[in-house]
Amino acid sequence: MNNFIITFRKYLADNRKQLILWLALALGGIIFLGAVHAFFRVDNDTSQGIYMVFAPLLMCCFASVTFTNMKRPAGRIAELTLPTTTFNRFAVRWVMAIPATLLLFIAGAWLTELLRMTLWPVFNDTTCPGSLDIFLFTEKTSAITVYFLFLLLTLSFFFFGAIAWPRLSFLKSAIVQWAISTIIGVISVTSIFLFFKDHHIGPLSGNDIDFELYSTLSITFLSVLIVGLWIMAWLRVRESEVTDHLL
Amino acid sequence: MLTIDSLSFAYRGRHSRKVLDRFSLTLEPGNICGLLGPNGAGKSTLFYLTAGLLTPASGSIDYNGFTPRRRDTAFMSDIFLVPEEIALPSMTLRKFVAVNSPFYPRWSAKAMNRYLDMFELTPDIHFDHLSMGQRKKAFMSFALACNTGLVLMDEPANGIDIPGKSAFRRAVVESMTDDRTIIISTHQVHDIDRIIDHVVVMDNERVRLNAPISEIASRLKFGFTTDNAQAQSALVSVPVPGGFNIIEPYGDCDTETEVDLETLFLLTRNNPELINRLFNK
Repeated sequence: MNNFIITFRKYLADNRKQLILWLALALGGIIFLGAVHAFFRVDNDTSQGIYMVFAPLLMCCFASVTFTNMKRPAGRIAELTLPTTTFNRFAVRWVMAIPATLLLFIAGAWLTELLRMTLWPVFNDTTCPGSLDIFLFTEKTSAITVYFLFLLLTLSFFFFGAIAWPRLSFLKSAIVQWAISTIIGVISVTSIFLFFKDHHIGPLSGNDIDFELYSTLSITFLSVLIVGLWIMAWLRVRESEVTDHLL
Repeated sequence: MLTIDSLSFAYRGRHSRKVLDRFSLTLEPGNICGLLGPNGAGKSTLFYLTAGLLTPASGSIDYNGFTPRRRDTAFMSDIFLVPEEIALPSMTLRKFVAVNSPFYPRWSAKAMNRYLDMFELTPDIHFDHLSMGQRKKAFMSFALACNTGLVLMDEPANGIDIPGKSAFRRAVVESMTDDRTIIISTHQVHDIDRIIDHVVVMDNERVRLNAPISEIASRLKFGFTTDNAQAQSALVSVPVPGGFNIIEPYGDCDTETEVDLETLFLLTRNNPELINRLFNK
């Protein structure tokens, strides 16, 4: 059998309880948000906006525990003596932490909206206005792309943090990310004020050349950062496998 | 064949000291080898290095043409490390076998059932409901059933009950083949003294003794005496209740005696020059 498939099967079996717990948490959150939004007559845009802020928190928590079994010597020995390649061991966790989590995020958004619309008449004696749709908070395709890239970047950073800091990885990743974001934010704002006084950068007007340029630059920059983080995570995994210390 | 050549290793850190220094050892397949040494001698470290979990500072390890630190999948599936502390997932043994056995091409379900019978375990047991000793028995059954060419066991009988120790010895002996090497590191020498056919003693970062049991038995005479004078003239004597365990030089007319690992270990530490002269030509 293909080594990747059996490694994947083993990961799912070894972490079955934790994965069920994460799914239960996600489902609980979806039901809670759907019901609360229906009860308080929250409109589609706001409901999706709230979902898009809180769901990533859970996703980042999940991404930061993907290498949790490597933080104790016994777990590390069990993991590293398994006859599989370093790449397969990394790829299995990457699939779970990034694409699978993103798919769950989209499915969760759809489910939250479906629940909101289904429960609306139960709580309010009126039918829910609008039709079933997700991520309607903006009309700009590029803006939603940037949002997803930011989400992917955050997720990738927490995934990298899980490898770089096996202990307290969520907390450490959050602190480092906050520090980096602050530094980049300060530098960006300062640069804009210093060098681009006459230009407005951001989605201020739809047909503006600046907006298109800004979007393209953002998408390119974020994509490079994301791929860079995955490569760094992979290199860190490879480097940390055989060292001169067990932990 | 396992060949370790001038291997040196030190854990990093403030109080780092060399664990292994120009350590050399060659082991032929078809042997059950007892690895003995005082605490901190580097037995577990040697296992981790052999399993490709640590990088040597210098020197090399070669196992059937593989370099462990490269961690080739083919190498990993021909070696099994049973560490002193085992991490097992929360699942039944049957499920554990289903997800782990595909990694080992020579894994045998028949052998697994035989070892489980010896340890009085069934495949439907759940790891969460087992004691430490039972978990170890289940894991060792799996380790031996993988039929890897090299099995490294670090204190395997720790935490195992008396019937379990006997079953462990039977399982190890039964699992032996001509192309397999089993290395057992332990302080409980009585758990292995009847099954090993080769002994390696490590001390002060080096190999002090590396010899087959048959060779040791043909060069040293192991015995027990109540005579103080005989004990004092022996190569080494260990006071035990009622007398002394002793080792004497093997005479031409003597019959071979059973090797007493504990006393042999003390002789190796107390008189390394003699051991060197007798065995490490």
